[in-house]
Amino acid sequence: MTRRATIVGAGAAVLAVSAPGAVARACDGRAVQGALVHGAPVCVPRQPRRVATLDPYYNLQMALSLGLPVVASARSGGSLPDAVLVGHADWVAEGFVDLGQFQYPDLEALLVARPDLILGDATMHASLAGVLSEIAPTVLVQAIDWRDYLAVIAEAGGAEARAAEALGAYDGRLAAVRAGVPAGTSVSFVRVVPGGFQVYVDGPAAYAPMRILAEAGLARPPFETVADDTVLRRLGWEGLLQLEGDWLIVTVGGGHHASDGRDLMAETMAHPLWQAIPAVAAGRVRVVDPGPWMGFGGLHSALAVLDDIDAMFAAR
Amino acid sequence: MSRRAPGPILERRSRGPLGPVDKGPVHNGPLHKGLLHIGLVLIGLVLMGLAAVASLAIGPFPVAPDQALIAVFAPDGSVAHTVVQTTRVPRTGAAIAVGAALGVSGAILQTITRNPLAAPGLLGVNAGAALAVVALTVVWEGPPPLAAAAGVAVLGAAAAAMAVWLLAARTGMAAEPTPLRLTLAGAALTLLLTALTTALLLMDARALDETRLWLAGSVAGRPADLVARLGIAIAVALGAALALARVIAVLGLGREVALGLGVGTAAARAGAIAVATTLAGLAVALAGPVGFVGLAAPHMARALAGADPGRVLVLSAPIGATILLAADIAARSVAAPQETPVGVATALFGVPVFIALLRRRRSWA
Amino acid sequence: MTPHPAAARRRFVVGAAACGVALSLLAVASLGAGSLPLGPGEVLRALSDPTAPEAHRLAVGALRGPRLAVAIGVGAALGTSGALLQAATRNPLAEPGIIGVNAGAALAAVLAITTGAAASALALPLAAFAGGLIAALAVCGLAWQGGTAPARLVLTGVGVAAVCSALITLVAVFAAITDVQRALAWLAGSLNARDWGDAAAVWAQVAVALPLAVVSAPVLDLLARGDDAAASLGIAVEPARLGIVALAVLLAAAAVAAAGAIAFVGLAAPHLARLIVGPGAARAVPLAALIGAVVMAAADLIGRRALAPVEVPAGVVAAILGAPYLLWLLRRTGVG
Repeated sequence: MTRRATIVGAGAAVLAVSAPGAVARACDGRAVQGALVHGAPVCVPRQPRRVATLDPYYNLQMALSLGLPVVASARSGGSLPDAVLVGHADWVAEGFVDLGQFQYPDLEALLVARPDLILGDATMHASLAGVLSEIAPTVLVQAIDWRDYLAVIAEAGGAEARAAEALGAYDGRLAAVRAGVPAGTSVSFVRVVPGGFQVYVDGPAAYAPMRILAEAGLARPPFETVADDTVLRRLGWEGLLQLEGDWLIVTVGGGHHASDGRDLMAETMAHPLWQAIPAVAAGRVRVVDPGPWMGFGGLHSALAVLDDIDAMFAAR
Repeated sequence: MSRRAPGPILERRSRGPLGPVDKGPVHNGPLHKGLLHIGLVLIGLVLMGLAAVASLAIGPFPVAPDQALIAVFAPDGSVAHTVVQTTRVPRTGAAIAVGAALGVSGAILQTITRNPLAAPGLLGVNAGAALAVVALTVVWEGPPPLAAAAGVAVLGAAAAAMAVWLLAARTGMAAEPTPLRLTLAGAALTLLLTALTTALLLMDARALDETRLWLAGSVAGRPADLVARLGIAIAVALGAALALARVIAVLGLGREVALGLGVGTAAARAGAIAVATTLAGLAVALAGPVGFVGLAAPHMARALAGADPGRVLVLSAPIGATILLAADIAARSVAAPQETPVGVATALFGVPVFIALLRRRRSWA
Repeated sequence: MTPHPAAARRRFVVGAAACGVALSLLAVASLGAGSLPLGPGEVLRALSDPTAPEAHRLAVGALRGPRLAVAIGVGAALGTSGALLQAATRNPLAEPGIIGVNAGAALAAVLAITTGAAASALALPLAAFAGGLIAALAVCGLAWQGGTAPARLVLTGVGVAAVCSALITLVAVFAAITDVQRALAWLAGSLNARDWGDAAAVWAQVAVALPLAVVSAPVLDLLARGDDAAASLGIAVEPARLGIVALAVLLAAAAVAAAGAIAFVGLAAPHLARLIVGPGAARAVPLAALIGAVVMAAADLIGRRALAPVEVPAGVVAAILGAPYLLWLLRRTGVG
């Protein structure tokens, strides 16, 4: 059954290549196109009424922030991290279906949720594409930049206007924050984890908050800037002395519960070498909530990151 | 399936069960041998000392060897001295303690089982400790205090080692499991414990995040007070091992001989196993899973000192410490300033030793 | 120990029939149980009637059907593989996981996942298959010393598995956490989201290998008597053993490629089969395949429903079920 559908799907893809617009014409809803969509074009309903998201990070949070009617989502095995619902803490949908873990969502629960649109991540869910598309039209996003990601979610959900409005507001806020950042300021970023440190770097595959730092006009020192796809470097105490930014932004733990790691943070800051970090010695440290910084999920997280940056310089 | 008689099938050709038998020249008197032994131990300690100084001096933050030593004994508060004092001294101490503990643990196990493949890692201690710590992390709802994690790690490691021993020995503490049985029981129990650990980690992403580096094995980033406390515990256990060295050597001669020499084997054996598993458990509690040091160190000691079990036991401590110091220096240098887990370095070093050992004799069943 | 031939035949028929009944019951339960519970009648209708509700047809035909088929195929492959390995190494504790196939496949799969090479659906099973084969070759090569003493083969497998897990650890430390989680989930042996193509691949390999194994049963029986006895009866011991080990490794690699690393099934199924029909390979091998299929189908059903919607991978269930059995086996046999 699946085989046949795959062959039919492949045939449709061949048709689409040979006759541009064939799918669009055959599609009675909208065709989501573009290089950022896995297996594009995907024919989706004109106005989705039952959206399922396969991960509690970008897909769930972006869908919620665009007001899409989410009826089911993978929630990391029942205990949704606080951080994931940054800006949506009060959200509980009627008849919401939990799809379990994002690495391998419960496809039967997905079937029972009767979605008319499935949103997922290409790197995580591409291997499920065949089965998923039998259940409902499936858009698997393969964007790196969070704004591109949001744009695809918006297009799939028919919420382009809302996304444009929200991104416009974000851009306005970004410009305002950037104006308050003294020119030439550099910043280091470190996450304290048990047994060591993770330095998230800026580069082609940078994690979204690091991209926002750059957009806000904050440079990263050479050690924290890469040309390859490195996302983070794992350091011990000695490596920490290489953080030579004017400012140091520090967060802790896994971003699951805000209370996690308070002790770890206190221990770290009491260490004699902590004071040897230039920014610490200069008193330019900002401790940030791991929620938006380490559980980044789109607009709400981005605005929270901007608030942190703003506060760093407003206080001066 | 052909059934074999239980118990070891030892080869009694030109080799003892553990390698070449020491057949020194006839004119070597006891005094001469004693001096040789002391000399070897001194050489081992000097090597360990050199490795320790290197460990204090080498790292992303450059410190000259003399400055490193000054930093230990008379720190002046400079950044270089603070680096040495607060990060390199604990990790160097941890490497020495863990390496010595694993080396001696392996030496005891190899002697009393007359099994050259016996080693703490192969007895499942790593998997037992890992499961215990991950379970604690899941239950704790946050990063558990390191001291608590260390405590359950010792318990988990000891429980796993005992289980493997009892599974492999068939008839309790007094029997000698064959190399094959012991290794298979260890591998099988490791698979089971790892499955349980995997299940826990799949259900709790936070626990994976918090235990990932720990699960990999490392002596970096251990708080100084934890190193000190577990280091003292290891020193006490090493002392117990030394005190038992003669009993352990007699046990290594086999059950009948041991009984003939008045060593009541069941209790003596249980004591020796308890010391060996405690050492291994303390090592895992301090550094996480570090494989193959406990296998390789006694064999290197035996290559230097001959088959005398007492000498092998003593010499395994500085040799194990030196191996782990060298592995830790490699682990912190290979991708500096990033840290890599020392357990990976010891496995890449130790497995060739393991396979070379396998190729040395024909029958392992 | 060895039943009379007629008794062995009777026991084989009874054992095979029992497996058949168990598989049928498990199939009905597996196809019916889930977030969308279906009775046996609804399952049948979903399979045969194109006018059945779309959700029913999808649940049975696209989700539960393929994974049941993969579970049965993988179980049969592991059972056969374990039976061959145990006979060839004369060690009732030998199994594909222990001689390094799982470890090699796991390393290759983790590399494929974390380097992004596994983006296409086919790449991951291919990488796993290749990794399992390479590890098994390395084990055989390192253990070769004018011949492969059974114990040395098994012990070398443990060493190679240790190297593979050290390298997996290294990769895991540097890889992104989501990749590591995905790799871990795969390593644990999950049958989630398998399609009919996966099922066809593993079934095809079992269909080729199982008859080969049954045909070579006389050789297996001679090898089981010991190398010297086998040689005196005119068997070229080393080529025969290598050929059988190669067949076993291919089967195990196929199983790993389809379902991830699954331990204990390859250990327990052949042993149970021998308990029922005695050591004769002509009956023990096919019965081991059937028992393996039953065990895997049961493990997957349990893993799917025990903590729903969180899924416990079948490999984890198999390991947890297999442990008490292994305890018992080690305690009561004099192997090694």
